[in-house]
Amino acid sequence: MSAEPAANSAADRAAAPRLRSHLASLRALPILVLLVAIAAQATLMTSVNADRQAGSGFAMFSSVDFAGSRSVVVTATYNGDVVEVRLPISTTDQVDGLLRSPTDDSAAQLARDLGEFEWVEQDGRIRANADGTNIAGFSVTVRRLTADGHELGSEVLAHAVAP
Amino acid sequence: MTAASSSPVSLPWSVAAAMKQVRTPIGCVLMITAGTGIFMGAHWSPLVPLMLAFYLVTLLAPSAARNSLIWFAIAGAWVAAVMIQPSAMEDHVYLYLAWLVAIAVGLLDRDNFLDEAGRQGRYLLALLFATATIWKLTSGSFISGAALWTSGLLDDRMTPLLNLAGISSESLTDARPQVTAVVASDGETFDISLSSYSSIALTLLALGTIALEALIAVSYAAPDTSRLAKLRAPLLVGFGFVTYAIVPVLPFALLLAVIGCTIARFERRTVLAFVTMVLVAIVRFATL
Repeated sequence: MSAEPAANSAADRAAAPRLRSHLASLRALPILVLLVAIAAQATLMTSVNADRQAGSGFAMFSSVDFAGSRSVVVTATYNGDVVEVRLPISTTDQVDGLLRSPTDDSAAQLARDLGEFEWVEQDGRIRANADGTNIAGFSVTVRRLTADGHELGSEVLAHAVAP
Repeated sequence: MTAASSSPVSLPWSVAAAMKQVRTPIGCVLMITAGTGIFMGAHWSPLVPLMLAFYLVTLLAPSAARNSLIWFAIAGAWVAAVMIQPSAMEDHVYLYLAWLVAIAVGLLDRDNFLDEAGRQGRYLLALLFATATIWKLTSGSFISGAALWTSGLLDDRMTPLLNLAGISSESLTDARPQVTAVVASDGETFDISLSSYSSIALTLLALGTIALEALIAVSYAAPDTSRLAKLRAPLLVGFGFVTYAIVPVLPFALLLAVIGCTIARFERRTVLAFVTMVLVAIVRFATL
């Protein structure tokens, strides 16, 4: 690798004179950028259980709980029975969002949105079908894994039932 | 008429002069950082052409790429990206953003660029690894090995690591539906039945990871005159070898390499070690 060929030229020095005069104060900027990003993600992780493996947390692989190990369980009452719901593909982004950042409000939104579809029963579950019927009372639950030593269990992160 | 009129020095833009600038430490930092941005663009594809063009600028017009304002502008583009598509971003994108700002700040005083960028890089790596250590210490499921086991269960890339700990791929396949049932219902539990060897191996792996990341944080936070400072590059390269031989996150490997080389002022052996680390990530990625 060759040595530096040139110090700051006159033209270079004129490039950002105002910023250069603030060099001392700007020195803290990079670490502040990272610090703010980490603090924001940490806040989301502790307040709304945001995914540890996404965002700016640097918490990869640190816990049994992450979006990929969570589940969204949706049930509905169909002909008097509580049945599992096979979620329409169009709700994929919504479900992904719930897994990454589960809140009761977003669970309630999904429960309400499911009420807009028509449903038919198939193999003990219901699935969306244009020839089906409207039903209400969808229950949406987001659960996460927990660990006590080597024993895995689960707990509810968010829950809502559409009226 | 002499041949002087066709000499490269008479051209307004000289390839030879550009290459000479690229081969300097500053040139390398700028070029590799811009090139890393192309891979980072995988998180938001509209940034790929921008970063590709920027990479070409650092390569073909290195003098122009030494303008601090351009780096602040590129950092601004990444701020926009993380605001527009936050769910698509991973932690190394935020480190990249902070490193772009560090370069912009360093370029305000080009005579001392390596000193300034190296100092900024030290602080960024110390903060990053300190944060990673804290999460692992406080998660409640990392030290026992449960977090590593679960990650391996749901991420095939980590299977070789669990195999080394004596956990067979078959046992993971058997456990998968049972763990899925646990997280889908109330009251169900699942015991990660591990042999004594696997249990000890996973715990040692977890403790080793925490110790390595904590040491990296401390070594980069320590002053340059400290004995710990001598451990910086070996520890970071060691972390890269272990991590990217399992989960090859190429943009992250490239970013750690360019920051590590900057802090080490492009000392020859350190550069070779970081290049090897990146090659490990590339080989692992290509053979997944």
